[in-house]
Amino acid sequence: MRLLTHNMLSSNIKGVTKGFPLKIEVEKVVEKQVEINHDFLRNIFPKIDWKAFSDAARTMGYVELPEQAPDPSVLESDLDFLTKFHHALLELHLEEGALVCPETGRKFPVNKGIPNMLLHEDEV
Amino acid sequence: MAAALHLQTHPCFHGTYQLSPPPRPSVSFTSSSRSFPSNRRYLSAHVKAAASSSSTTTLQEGIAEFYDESSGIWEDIWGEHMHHGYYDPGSDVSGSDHRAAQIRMIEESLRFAGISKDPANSPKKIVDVGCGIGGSSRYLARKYGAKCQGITLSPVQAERANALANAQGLADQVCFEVADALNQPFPDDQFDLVWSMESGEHMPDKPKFVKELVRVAAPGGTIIVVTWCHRDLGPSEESLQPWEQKLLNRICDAYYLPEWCSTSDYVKLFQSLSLQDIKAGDWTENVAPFWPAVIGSALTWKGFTSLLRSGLKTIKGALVMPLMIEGFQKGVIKFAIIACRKPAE
Repeated sequence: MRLLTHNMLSSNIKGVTKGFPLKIEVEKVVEKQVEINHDFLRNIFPKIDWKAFSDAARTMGYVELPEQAPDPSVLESDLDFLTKFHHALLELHLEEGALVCPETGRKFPVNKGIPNMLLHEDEV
Repeated sequence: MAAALHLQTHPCFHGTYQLSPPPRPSVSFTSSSRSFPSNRRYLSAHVKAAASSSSTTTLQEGIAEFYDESSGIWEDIWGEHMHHGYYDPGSDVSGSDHRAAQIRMIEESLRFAGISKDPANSPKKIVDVGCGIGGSSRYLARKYGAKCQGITLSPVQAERANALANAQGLADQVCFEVADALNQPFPDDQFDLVWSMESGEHMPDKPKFVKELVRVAAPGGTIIVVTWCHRDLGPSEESLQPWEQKLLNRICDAYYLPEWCSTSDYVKLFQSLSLQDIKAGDWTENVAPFWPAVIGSALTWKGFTSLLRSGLKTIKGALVMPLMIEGFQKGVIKFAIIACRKPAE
């Protein structure tokens, strides 16, 4: 599971008002190289919840991202930033671990990189 | 396990109708689309009532196990798309390229829904609800350069979908999760295109299914549902004929399907949620050659031996295939497309 995906998932357990972002419990992180695409990064940047993203990256062991969302102008020409953004967004994979509902603490397992977001009977 | 999964089909008969032959429904869908005015008629009772939650869990486990067991053999013979092919009505399909027909099904669906090919207006974020091994997700992501999420109940399918995405160089564009279409793990208003290709028939609670499709659609986004339905009921009918219900029950049992609904039930659901530009089409004639072709593939040496190695659920599914043909031929089963748009803010 990449952090791009994590930035789109939320806990919709019955009664939960703020199910985003999910906390991350790490058991195994794998790095998989992917070719960088600057246009893709520029297009996706406005859609990312930056705080959730940089916190998640930190949990995964990557501390190079700024905590606050940078000014969009850095996407124009700051190659160093683009590389770090790309790396955290697309190249870090949570292979084994869990996503945790921020309100209830309920854990959604992640196995072989695939999150299992199925709710139990009493959670719907 | 199979016995435990015989579903209560929750019949809601208010007496049998002594009509023979089966009545032609008065609102028939032709293969050209028909736009629906926004009126708020209510659904017939059997669609409103949802299955109890424990039977839903049993159903979901059955679905997951069925696809865990069957996806490999399907992919081996038919490839990555787990849906019907689209053919010209009445065409001779012997020697047909069925995989091309499956691609055509995707393209015809996009065309029906009026999805723009113009890069400025084409979908950027897509969700594939009931994604199988991700055939549609990868196709759509590639076609539009979009990001696509796929959800499935089957962990085996999700894993295979990811592996195929990696192999096809789409790992940064598509990803798959094990999740429930009735409780999609996404915040509201996310997706420009909400895609459900032949998964709706598995949903035990159609109103909730449709509500979730609408919830996760972005304002101005498009929803496309391609699914098996039963024929629309006539104005004096409250339910299908007993023989029709019996036929469907046998199919439900083998394919882990809950109660069927009609195309117009879907239309009414979307109308009740104030969706716009609702269109529905009857593509039954366009998919008619598909099941005989699947049966043909099962009867080849490769197909037959693969089935024997697969498992009881897959075999049971295979044995019920002639019932699908019977259902189509007798006008009970319809292959439907429903498309609509969520109002822009």
